[in-house]
Amino acid sequence: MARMKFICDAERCIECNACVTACKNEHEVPWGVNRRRVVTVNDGLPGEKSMSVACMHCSDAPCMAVCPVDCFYKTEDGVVLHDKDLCIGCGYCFYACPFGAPQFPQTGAFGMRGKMDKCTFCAGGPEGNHSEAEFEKYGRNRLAEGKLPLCAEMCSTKALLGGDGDVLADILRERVVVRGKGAEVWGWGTAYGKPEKKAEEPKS
Amino acid sequence: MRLWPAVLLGAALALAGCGEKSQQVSYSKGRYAGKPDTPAWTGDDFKNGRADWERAIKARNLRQNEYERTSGRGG
Repeated sequence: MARMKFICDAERCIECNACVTACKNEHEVPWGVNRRRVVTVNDGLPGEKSMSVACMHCSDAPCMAVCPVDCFYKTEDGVVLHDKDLCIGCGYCFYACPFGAPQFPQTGAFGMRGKMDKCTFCAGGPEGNHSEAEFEKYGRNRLAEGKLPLCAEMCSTKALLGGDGDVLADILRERVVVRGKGAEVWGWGTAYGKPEKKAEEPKS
Repeated sequence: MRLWPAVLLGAALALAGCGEKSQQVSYSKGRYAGKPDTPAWTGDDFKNGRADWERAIKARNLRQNEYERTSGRGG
């Protein structure tokens, strides 16, 4: 049994925002709602790091715990989903989520709250697989097609990985072993190659 | 005879209330109260073949490892 998770490799993410665009396009997400976004820490400074963030499909999800109408559920594969027919748009899940994943459509002139919208791990929602209602409310169901979330599958540097947590951990572990970690993975030497021989000392 | 349409209309209106669905959620604290979901493997693509679905997902999962793809170790 898979436990679906996302992992973003901060050493590889180049802040291209292709994951954000792919998600918006695939699910026809309305204006003002970003199921996924890229966060950059120390922007513009040497060693800046970017991370693609969306719902992390927590094992013990705080959004599920605080929802007053209990509209959240977890699939057998660990994907956290919700029933939009039950959601009252109160925003408790937004306050509880440490990643800011729940989004609320700005449907009115005064930023009126609508039904909560969030990343579905491309797994649709509680409607028939590939039904019109499912697409309208939750977006495309790629999991039912035997595919993984589009944001991860189309990531050009493979910074963002999605799927079974155990497999993702193996992939990341192998990467770290091959490339090294910390200061070894960025800097002049990594970008332009290490000098083959040491520069000669100036003669005095 | 002229009364028939009015009687039929009245009956239809009276019966309309019977067709109203309850909008009350059967609430049980701490438990998911929404509609049941259909698992991913029950669609047209896999036709309840859960093992096939898991194999497909695993294969795509492993293809995210470019060391596997470039070294020819895997698919």
